[in-house]
Amino acid sequence: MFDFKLIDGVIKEPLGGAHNNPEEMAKILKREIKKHLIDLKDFTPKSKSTTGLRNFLQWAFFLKNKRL
Amino acid sequence: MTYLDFEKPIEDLQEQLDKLRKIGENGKVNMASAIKELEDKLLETRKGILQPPQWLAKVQLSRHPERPYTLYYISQLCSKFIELHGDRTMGDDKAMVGGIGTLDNESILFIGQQKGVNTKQRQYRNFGMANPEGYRKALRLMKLAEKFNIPIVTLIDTPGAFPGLEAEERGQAEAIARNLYEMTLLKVPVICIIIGEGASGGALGIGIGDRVLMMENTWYSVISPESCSSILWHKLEF
Repeated sequence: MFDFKLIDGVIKEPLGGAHNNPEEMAKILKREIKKHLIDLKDFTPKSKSTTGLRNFLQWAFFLKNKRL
Repeated sequence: MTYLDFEKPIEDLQEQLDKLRKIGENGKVNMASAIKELEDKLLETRKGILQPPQWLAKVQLSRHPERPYTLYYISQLCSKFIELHGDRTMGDDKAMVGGIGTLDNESILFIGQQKGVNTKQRQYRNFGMANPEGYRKALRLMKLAEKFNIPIVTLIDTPGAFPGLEAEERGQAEAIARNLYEMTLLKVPVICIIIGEGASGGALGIGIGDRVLMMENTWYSVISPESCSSILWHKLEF
């Protein structure tokens, strides 16, 4: 899904899946959230709403290109 | 620990390891080298099973009964968390939790689906399947966050929106569709993270954001693989 640009990123899990080491997973999650929050900090409300829309429309574009 | 089918070799090794450890503690026999060997083998097997990613293993892992859920992550992430209830029309949906938490001195609105950790709780939480009031509650909280300019983080983990009669009567489709519309227009940053299953409308209802992230062992699709197979071929095996 990442290759098709349907999502923006994949979060790595500890070996064996999140249930094997929940604390580690929570730490990874925290890091990711903070990283993306800093990324989004400079956005103006206008560009923010367009990124949300872009993400959603990406799905439609994907389907359209696939068919052509 | 609960082990899934494909984790059988790991379970066997773990049992052997526990036995050896017990013998090592009780008797005078030195078991250190044997234990070390077995531990290495266990690590290898774990890697062997999970490293070349197998889609079925991923689907099963995403539903692992001991996989951490939304409330666990929130309790680990936030120093302070206030849960907010109710959608101001129908009632409070237990499958959808939301509230404002503090992550390193920064307020963030968390919304997510919660599954239970045992049978009783699972029924209480409706197996993570949210009713319309859940989505309306989510929307209410998002509007609140927009008013106070607080960023939103949604944690998605649902087998789907609740397909029951009551849910349809109260306008499930309308609630989700309105969420899609309103979420694209929010003026605060929205990060959506899929932490388990992400099925169809149930996930989309709180899944439109500026950043959409997935964890490694999760899936995000219009329908769960089993339901798809049962619709197309009337069998679960495919």
